[in-house]
Amino acid sequence: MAEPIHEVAAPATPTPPELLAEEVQGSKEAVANFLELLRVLDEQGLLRTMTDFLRSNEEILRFAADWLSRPRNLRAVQNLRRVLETLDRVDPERLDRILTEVTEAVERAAAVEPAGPRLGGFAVMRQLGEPETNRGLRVLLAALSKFGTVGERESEDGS
Amino acid sequence: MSTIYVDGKPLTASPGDTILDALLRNGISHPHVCYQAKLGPLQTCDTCLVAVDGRQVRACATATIDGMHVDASSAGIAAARLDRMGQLLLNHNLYCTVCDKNNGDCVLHNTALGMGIQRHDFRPKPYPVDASNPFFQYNPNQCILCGRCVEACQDLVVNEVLSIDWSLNPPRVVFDHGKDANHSSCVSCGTCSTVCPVDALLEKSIVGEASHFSRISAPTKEKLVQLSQTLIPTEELWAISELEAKARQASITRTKTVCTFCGVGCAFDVWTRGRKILKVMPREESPANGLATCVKGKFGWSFVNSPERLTSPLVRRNGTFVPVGWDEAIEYVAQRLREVKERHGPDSIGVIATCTGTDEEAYLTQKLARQVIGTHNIDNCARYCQAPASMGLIRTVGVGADSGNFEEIAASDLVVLCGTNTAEAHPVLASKIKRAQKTRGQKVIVLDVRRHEMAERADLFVKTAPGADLAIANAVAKYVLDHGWQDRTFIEDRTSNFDAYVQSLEPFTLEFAERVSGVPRATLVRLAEMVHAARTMCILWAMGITQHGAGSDTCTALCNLLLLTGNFGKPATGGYPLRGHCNVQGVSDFGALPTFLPGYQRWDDPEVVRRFERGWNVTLPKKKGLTSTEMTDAALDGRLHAMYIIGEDKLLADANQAKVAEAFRTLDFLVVQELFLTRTAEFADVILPVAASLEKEGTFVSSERRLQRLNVAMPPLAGTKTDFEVVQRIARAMGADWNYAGPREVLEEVAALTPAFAGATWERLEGFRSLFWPVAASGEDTPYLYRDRFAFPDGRAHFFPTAWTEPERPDAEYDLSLDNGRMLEHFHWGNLTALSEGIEQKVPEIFLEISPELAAERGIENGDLVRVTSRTGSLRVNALVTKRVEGKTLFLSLHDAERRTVNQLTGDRRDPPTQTPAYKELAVKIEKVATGSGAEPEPPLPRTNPRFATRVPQRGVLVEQKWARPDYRPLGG
Repeated sequence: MAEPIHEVAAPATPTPPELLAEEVQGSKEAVANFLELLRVLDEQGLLRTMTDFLRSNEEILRFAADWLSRPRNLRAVQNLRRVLETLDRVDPERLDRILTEVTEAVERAAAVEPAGPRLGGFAVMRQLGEPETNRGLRVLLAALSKFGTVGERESEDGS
Repeated sequence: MSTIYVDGKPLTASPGDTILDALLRNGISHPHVCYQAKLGPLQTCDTCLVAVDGRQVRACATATIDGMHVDASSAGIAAARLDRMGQLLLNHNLYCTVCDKNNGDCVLHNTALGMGIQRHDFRPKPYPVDASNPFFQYNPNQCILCGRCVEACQDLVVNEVLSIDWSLNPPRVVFDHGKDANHSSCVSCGTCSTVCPVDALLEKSIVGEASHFSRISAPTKEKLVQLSQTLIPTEELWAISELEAKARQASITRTKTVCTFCGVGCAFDVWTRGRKILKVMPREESPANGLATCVKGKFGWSFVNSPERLTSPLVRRNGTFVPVGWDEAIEYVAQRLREVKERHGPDSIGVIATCTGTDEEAYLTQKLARQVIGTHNIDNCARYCQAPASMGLIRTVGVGADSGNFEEIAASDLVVLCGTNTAEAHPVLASKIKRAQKTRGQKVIVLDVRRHEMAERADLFVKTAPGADLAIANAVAKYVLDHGWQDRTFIEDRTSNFDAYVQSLEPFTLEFAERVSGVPRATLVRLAEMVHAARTMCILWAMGITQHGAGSDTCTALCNLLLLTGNFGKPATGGYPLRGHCNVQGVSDFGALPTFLPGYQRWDDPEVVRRFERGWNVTLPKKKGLTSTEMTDAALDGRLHAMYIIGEDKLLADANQAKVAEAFRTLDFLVVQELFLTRTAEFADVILPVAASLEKEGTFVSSERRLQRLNVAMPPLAGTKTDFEVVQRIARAMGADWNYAGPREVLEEVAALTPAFAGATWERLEGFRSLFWPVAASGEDTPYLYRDRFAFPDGRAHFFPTAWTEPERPDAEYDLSLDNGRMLEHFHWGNLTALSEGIEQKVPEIFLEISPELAAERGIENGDLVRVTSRTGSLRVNALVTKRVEGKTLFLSLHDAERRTVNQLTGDRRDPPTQTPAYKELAVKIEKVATGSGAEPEPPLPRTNPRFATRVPQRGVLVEQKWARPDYRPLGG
């Protein structure tokens, strides 16, 4: 006479998860922290993102290479590289000084009322005589002089 | 064939081709968004524009004409298309990288990318997201108003809920003309989300799961989208989204499988990540269903990952189930079965094969019974449902299966639905009929005791008394004969025993049929006239016909009527018993029947026996086997001592539950193989936990004899094994030399032993390919049977006379008739579907349907608790007052596994030839036990159930209303 049974007894032998739990008892705090990290990564979707990108590494690389190989993108990357190469030759302190001054110059320029009174020839001469303007002009002229050599070098290189 | 010239180049076009058809067929990529081959041209997006004779036309809707010159690529027409795409994109924010739809199949993304869209203006709509439905959400802001969802809802699956309200500014898709989705008549079939080309209609199961960035909160996401669209050039955004979409593919797996919730055989890809089910995606090439699904197939898979699943073999010890290892469990089962066999003989053991397992598992199960145990006591759940249908077909035309396929049904002039609530039990097939009726005027007749959806839609609804269908079929046949409307040529050339049939019809006058069925004579005449007027007719039937005391005879009478009118053996005709389980057809086809070996080869045919004895190296048993219902009797009278039941909750499925429980108690040994601790499993000595369909491979045969493969979408849940492996291990433990590597090897063995499957090979069933058996060795299959000959030695169909059998009727004490059956949302006892939160929201419990007139007479209101009592037992259930039933007929659905199962009430009456219980001939009485709670009578069905809403039919998307809007610019000249 087999009467129906509605419940299942707890397993007599440890299940694989229980065995695993026993094994990690010794470092349970570290495991718990690691699991917490995993949980957060998973919640944010970052775990999957990383996994997926790693899994499809080959395809993504191929796609990226194809995309970067387009002439337009190639030029952009080459130019970016040149800019970086140039920047690493510039003394940061000097660049910082110049950038600070450029920033201030921009701010001052912005403060000028464009609809103000007309600037006549004498006023311009007076302005050039001021030490700050004069120093700025010298910097600009030095830079212009340097730009002027670019064309010469290109001719010498035959480029 | 004709030739058109596209940009000056000649292109071949087939008759009926549109320009777009011709372009695509010739492998020429051409933009299109709203067009979908299964839906046809909707003409809402205008992105497929071409110019013909200098005039802009839509390529999707313009028929090809021989010699036509088409400008598809000039700068002018390309600019026009870009302009139209720009208009479309005003409705849609291209945030593809964070969009859960951009998985390589977003139509809008792919088309816009292909067209080289560099600029994108977006105009948000002032409508909130409608996330009220438990399964999908609608985001009007992302909706491009292409109308695919509307076309699918209105004219493909014909559930008639969606429309676009073109009078709104801006227009939007609406449910029932403006309700929220959850309170509308939407049956949650999900087809709208399948066809949506963007993320406007999206399955909730994939929201936040596909994009790597979709878990970011909505406000942050919005800012990031704005920022990236401002800072990053469009081309780079395309590249980023493509890159991200490719990364998604690394963890999303798409596996083709076949649905397990009914016998239609819907095939689809199931998208998974590990064990997580992201969504179900039917495909155009899904052979039986195309793009359609029902709520269960699309959204009912939660059970696969339910924590309630069994994950360890269990053995009964000291009044409890104790988990044991697989080796111990298998050895114990083998040992106990051997003991019973040695003590009481092989025929003291009965085996039940599962109808939700694969064909190969069924084959192994019946082979275990016959070769290893040595008995023909092997059966399956067809015993409870369609065995009488097989009997009717075998008697008359020779093969116990659907004579055609679903396309024949769709193509027929007249479809007669007898005792089948098709829209709920076989919803995707019902859609084909609804579509044929709506779009091309197919006529539909419904014979039923209940006014269900198909009855509401029918051109003629014949409300019958339970068990009276035989009288109606024969009365119509007699009327046809009396008027000389029979197909004389067909009868003469292709049938036998006609005279005896004619003679048997004598008693079936209209008067007699009217008296026993309650159907007015005029209705019977109208029915006969419609049968006569149809050039082709299909008759479909289900449990409303078979589960009666004269089930086999009624099925036979329907087949006779088809023969009388020449409706067998040609396209768009035939008899179609609709199978309830996904593989009840296949399990029977592969031999899990007491009287048939695989391929319906008789168990007592000497030639067949010789072939199988040679193939299996065994002497087959000589005694006829028991049916499943006879096994119950045999257990009670001491002939049966052990049962091995796979995937069937026999306690709930068999009639007279108390009797079945008693039979289980008397068994010496009961093994149950299951996913869950079912009511039957509770009686077991050993329970073996097995894999779900998504966890295994093999083949199914659907109702239309269609063989299809299913594949492993995820490995079996830890601790479970496939039925295939379990049966093989038991066979080996009992001494069999079985060593099948997988189902493919089994299919090869079946093909070698079974002419009907000679050409059914693993390769021919690859992907979405399928075959209708019989399959010749050459691979040629049989979409419809009997084209050249019927399956009898003389090749002729056989009229099989039938006589009237009085059904069990209500009497003075048990004065009401109780009908029972399925509801759309659930599958059987709810073991599987009740684990879906969304389905439980829609139908949380079963209820008793009672007619308004009877409710008034008995003082019963919605929600009242009612006791239903039959001669066998009683149960208590809440009442729902509805016009779906009339007069003294009640209806109770099947979907309860606890204390309200209809088989607490059913009795021992059976159909004699098949021993199928007469579940649907049940006289009961009712009494009100308690008044429903609450001030207002509330039905036990939530107001969010679609049965409370009214469908809003229209033809398609009504694009003319879009064209009439002042903001629409007509096509240029």
